[in-house]
Amino acid sequence: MKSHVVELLSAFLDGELSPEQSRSVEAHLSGCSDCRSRLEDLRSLSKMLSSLPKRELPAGFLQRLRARQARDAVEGRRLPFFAWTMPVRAAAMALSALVVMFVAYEGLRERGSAALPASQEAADSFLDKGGAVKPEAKGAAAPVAMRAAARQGKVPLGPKAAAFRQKTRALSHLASGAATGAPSGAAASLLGAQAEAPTVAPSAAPTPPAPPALAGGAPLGESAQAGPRYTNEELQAMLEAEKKRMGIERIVPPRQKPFPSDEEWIGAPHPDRQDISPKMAAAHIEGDTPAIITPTSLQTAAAPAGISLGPPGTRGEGRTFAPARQRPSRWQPGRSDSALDRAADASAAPKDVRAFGKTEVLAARSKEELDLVWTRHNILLPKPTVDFSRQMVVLVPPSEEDNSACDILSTEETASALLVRCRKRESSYGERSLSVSFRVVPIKDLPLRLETVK
Amino acid sequence: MSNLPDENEFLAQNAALVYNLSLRLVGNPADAEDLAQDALLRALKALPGFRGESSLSTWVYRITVNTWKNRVRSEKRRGFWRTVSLNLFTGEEADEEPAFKAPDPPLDAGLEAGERETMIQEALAELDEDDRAVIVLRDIEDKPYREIAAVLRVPEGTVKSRLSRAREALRRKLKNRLTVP
Repeated sequence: MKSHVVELLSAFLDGELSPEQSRSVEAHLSGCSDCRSRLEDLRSLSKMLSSLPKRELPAGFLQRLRARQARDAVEGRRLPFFAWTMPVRAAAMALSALVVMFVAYEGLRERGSAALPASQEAADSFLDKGGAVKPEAKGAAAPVAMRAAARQGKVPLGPKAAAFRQKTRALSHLASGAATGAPSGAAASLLGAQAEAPTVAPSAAPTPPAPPALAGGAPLGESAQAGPRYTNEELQAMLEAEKKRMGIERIVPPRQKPFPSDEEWIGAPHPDRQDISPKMAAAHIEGDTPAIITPTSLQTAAAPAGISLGPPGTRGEGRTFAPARQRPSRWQPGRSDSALDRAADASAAPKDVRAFGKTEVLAARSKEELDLVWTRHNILLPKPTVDFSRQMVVLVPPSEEDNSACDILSTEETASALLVRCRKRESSYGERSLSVSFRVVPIKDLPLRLETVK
Repeated sequence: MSNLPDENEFLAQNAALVYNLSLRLVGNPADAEDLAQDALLRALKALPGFRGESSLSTWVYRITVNTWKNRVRSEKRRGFWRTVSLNLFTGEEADEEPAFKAPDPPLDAGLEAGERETMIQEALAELDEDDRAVIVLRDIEDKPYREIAAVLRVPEGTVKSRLSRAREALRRKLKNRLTVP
């Protein structure tokens, strides 16, 4: 029954169950604290999401929208993002047809004649001083050299050749036009006729797609950039948007908080410890759950996260740190630093320490107390951000005796005390410094009370 | 249809809505503006042909979600995955005092509002699109299951199970970022 109810809790929260189902879930909830706490988790999650603020339209949004709409009208047809590849594919096919023609033309012309370099010398050898083609030049080799000469502007092109040259010029313009638009570049990708080839972001495409140039009506020989004119400001804005879009990539790992500083790593275990399983070391590499650090895991873990690990001993901004081996090994199994213990036991002991069986709950009400608890219990995790003028940190560290952990489920204010409920969990000795559960709560001047549940 | 809003009216009623939905779907204001404008332009174009088979707002939501999904798919095809992970949500609102009487204080007690928003947005970005869509439509846009089903064109049962799964995934991600599990 229980697993069935767990699936329904979400719908129950939203009031989307039938009356009978609701009733049976309610009946179950009255006897199942696990499900009750799950429901509360769901409720607080939902509340957190719905508390996200509704943002206003950014300034100028509607003007920009209208401007885009106007531009689309000028261009004739603004295609939806996913369909705009159609005409470009058509253009690409037309282009490849042209290329085939061009290559065939070349091939036909050069067949049966010596392949002559289209060079200045070759051209000159076929032209006399007056620019006319020498009589001896006429023959099989002539057309190639004539084209070479024509390219240098020395011989006027016949109508057919002129038209052909315009088309090939359009080819190269389109190729370069596509290249500026597509990061992967080149006519090659365009001629590949793939949908991805024109990877210009659709919404900010300063270079209009190829069709206008190929449509035949547009003046060939003009740059493919010909199209609607944009104002400088619009171009700037589009450029910025494009730059931003292209430049931003996933560079920040999911981990939000900076790695702990050297002082916080003081609790790191001696690298020669035998009882750390490779699994625990590996768990650190995932990034989210810091585990026992071995020098090797340090190397691997740091690199993917984009943190530069300099030569041992270098530090910068708290983000690089020396491998554990370099650090003086102050950590001894079973013993915290004696100097710190003395300070802890003397005047600066955190208030509200109350032992409950083998587990105790603490409250840290100031930065010093928090630091003390962190050091005393060798906690590797970064400290939470706390505003001690109105908040405090409630902690349940692992038990000194059996190293079991207790995860805080909830905190509740009663008339006489601040009740902290936690669920016990076995943890191996090696995980000791992970097994602290804490909550940041508003400041309350009540004594703490701990209740452990199964 | 004579009772269709004219363009200005349509924008006045729906632009902010579309923008906010886009914002929560893509996670950053720059892309959200792009997506919102794409979606609104599509909607404006299709508006004359709207026949009222669903409510206008469902229709607008559907266009926005579809435009977003197409964009995501084509980005994946391009072979790179962009996530802007800057803290773009430094809010000016004061921190909420968590409801202390509740059995479980909110997961985010102790964070600044801007931090919280960024953290939630990042966790949302880690969900896959279908899960993200249902959570955003349910918990942020407050739509009932029936309407979510209409927007996404899936059965209500699918919405129910997907939402349950997505919430669990999101809860786990947020817990990882806040406390020791």
